[in-house]
Formats: sequence, C-alpha cells, structure tokens
Amino acid sequence: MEPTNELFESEGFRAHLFLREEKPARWEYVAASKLTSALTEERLTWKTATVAHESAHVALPKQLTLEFDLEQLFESLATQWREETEHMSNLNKACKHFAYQQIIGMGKVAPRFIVPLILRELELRPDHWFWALHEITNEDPAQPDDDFDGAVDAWLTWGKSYLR
Amino acid sequence: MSDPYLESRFPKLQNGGYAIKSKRSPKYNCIAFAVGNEARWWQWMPRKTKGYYWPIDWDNSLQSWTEVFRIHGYTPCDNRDFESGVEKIAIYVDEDRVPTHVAKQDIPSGKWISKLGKGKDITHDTLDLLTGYDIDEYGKVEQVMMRPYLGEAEDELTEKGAK
Repeated sequence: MEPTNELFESEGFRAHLFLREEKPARWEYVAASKLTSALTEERLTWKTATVAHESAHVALPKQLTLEFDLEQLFESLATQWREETEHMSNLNKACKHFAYQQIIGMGKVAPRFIVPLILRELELRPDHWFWALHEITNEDPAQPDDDFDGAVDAWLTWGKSYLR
Repeated sequence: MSDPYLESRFPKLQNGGYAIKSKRSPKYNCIAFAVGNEARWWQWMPRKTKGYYWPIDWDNSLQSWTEVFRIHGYTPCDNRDFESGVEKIAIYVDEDRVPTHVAKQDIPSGKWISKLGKGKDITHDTLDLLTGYDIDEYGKVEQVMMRPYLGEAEDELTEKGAK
C-alpha cells in the first residue's frame, strides 16, 4: 500500500491508513501497546517503531536503596561465589573470583564488620574461607597438618576471641 | 540417574554417559581423589594458608601438578586410551595453561572418574565430556600421565606421599 498523501507520510499516519484499509478487523482488537508489533509484521520500514515500543518495557536498572546494607551485599557476594566456584578444582582460581576478592577488599576496609560475617558463613556453610580470613586478618590459627575440618574449627575458635 | 544442575554446568554431559558416585564435599579435591587420599584438599596456596596439603614447594603451574603425579609414579604419555595393567590420569588446563582439573581412569571399566571441585564424584565415559570454556567446564586436556597399575600397593605409596 502506498501513502495517499505525501504531506501525511508519517509513521503514525501510515499505520493508521494501513490498519483502517487493510486490517480493519485487526484494528478493533489490537491493543495500543501491541500496535507497532503488528505493523512490523507487514512493513520492515517500521522496525524503529518496534524498538521504541520495546524500550518502554525494559526494566530500569536495579538501584541500591538508601538503606544500603553491607550485610546484604556480603551475603549476595558469598552466594555468588559459592555457586560459581562449586566445580572449581583449583582453589587458586576460585579465590581469584571477583566476588571473593570483593569480600577480601571489604574486609580490609572494615574487618570488624566483615570478619564476623565470614565466620558466621563458615559455621553455617563450611567452605574455603581460610584464604580470605588469612588475607584480611594476617592471622592463620590452623595447624600445618590440619585438614578442612581442622581449619574450620581453628578459625571458629579464633573467632570467639576476635569477637570479644 | 541424571543431575540437571550438573548438566547445566557441564552441557556435554547431557548427551554423554556419566554417573554420580558421591555427595558433594568441600573437604577434598580432584588431585586428592586421583591420588587416593581424600583426607585433604591438595592445593598449593600462595601464602601457605593452612588447611591444605601440597607435597612440593612449587607454584600452581602445570609443571607443579605434573611433578606431584611424577612423585607418585606417573610418567607423561600421549595415549589416553585404556591399556591393560596401566592406570592413567589426565590434567585439564584453561586458556592460560593453568591447571583446572584432574581425572583418573577407572580400572577395569576404562571410564574416567572425577571429583568436581567442591561438588560430587562422577564417572564419565570420555575426557571430552568435561572440556569447554563456557560455564564450569575445565578447558582442554593438556597432559596425560600413566603408571603401572599397583592395586593395593598403591595405597601404601599414597600414604607415604601424603606424609
């Protein structure tokens, strides 16, 4: 279908003519929000309208609330690290994961806040937090021959005096 | 029995043969599993953080991992196929040739057995099922090593190596 009047050859006017003359039944039922999608099925030149239409439905970026919660951030990072390194056999790589490194960075800035969170996580879900604790505190209370359980116990015992 | 989560992290398992052999455990890793000492997580740590075991004073390179298996009687080889009287391990590396994983060949099935990080032990039909770079896969197989199958004598050797 060609526009009937060049003076009105806008996207919207062409859409109006198209739907009125060629798709009368559809015109009645196509919701306004779906209009541009319906049009692009017929005219490639109207693709830009689709983009504009869809852009209105893109979720806004998630914003931190004013009650920004460091504990919530720690839990989010810890969960991400735990899930994304579950199958890493080389722990050096797992400890270089950005979430783990961010926790270490937070710990160096605010050890009195982050170390208790790591210790709580270690107690609830024993995992390889030894490197992070070592990096943050410059302490390593485990014994050279300690296995995983031994290191967990050593850090939790150390934590009791640290938290006093 | 299939494991949808595992298959989502290692997509090649969807079309390959594998079987889960244990629950997850953060207490030991693939090297410990391959060497037969599941009491420790075998890992070189930059600051010698305690809670881990590494039998040599080397870094985290492929040469270091290879040396650990060399002192347990393994020598490099090119053939990853099953051979009678021989047991094999295969070391995977990432794009930077950093070791990511070790699988061991099961005797007598000829399949491979792996401890997947902090996750489960599995058997897998081929080494290729754990290769790739997209999600949790271990990259590619870089080094295969072999030693005579020692049977029960292997345990004694392993214990000496871990002490």
